[in-house]
Amino acid sequence: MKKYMKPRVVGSSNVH
Amino acid sequence: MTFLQRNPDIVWRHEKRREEQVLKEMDAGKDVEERGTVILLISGMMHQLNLLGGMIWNLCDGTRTEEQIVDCLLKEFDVERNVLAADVAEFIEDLLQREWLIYG
Repeated sequence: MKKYMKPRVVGSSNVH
Repeated sequence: MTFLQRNPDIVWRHEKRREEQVLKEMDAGKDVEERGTVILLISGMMHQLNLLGGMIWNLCDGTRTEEQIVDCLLKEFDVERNVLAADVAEFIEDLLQREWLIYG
């Protein structure tokens, strides 16, 4: 079994 | 209308090699919660999902309900069902609001 983590959006950045 | 699917307008990529690396680091006891394994490109922004988020994203292929997604993840992770179900519900709700996920 894998160690659990909360599902999250972890990073957002501008492409341009 | 209960099957979850990804918004077809979104360009995305499952970074499989990076995911393998994250799984290795996880086995080594490192904290990988902040590591992205799926990249989404949406109107000039790049967003990343962590391992669990990416696995949920990959499972949202229009053939599964939220409950079926929880069932899939429960087999792989050491977590109580009620905790997992609450986290999955919160994550999916967030992505539905962003219109990254839709009901198909």
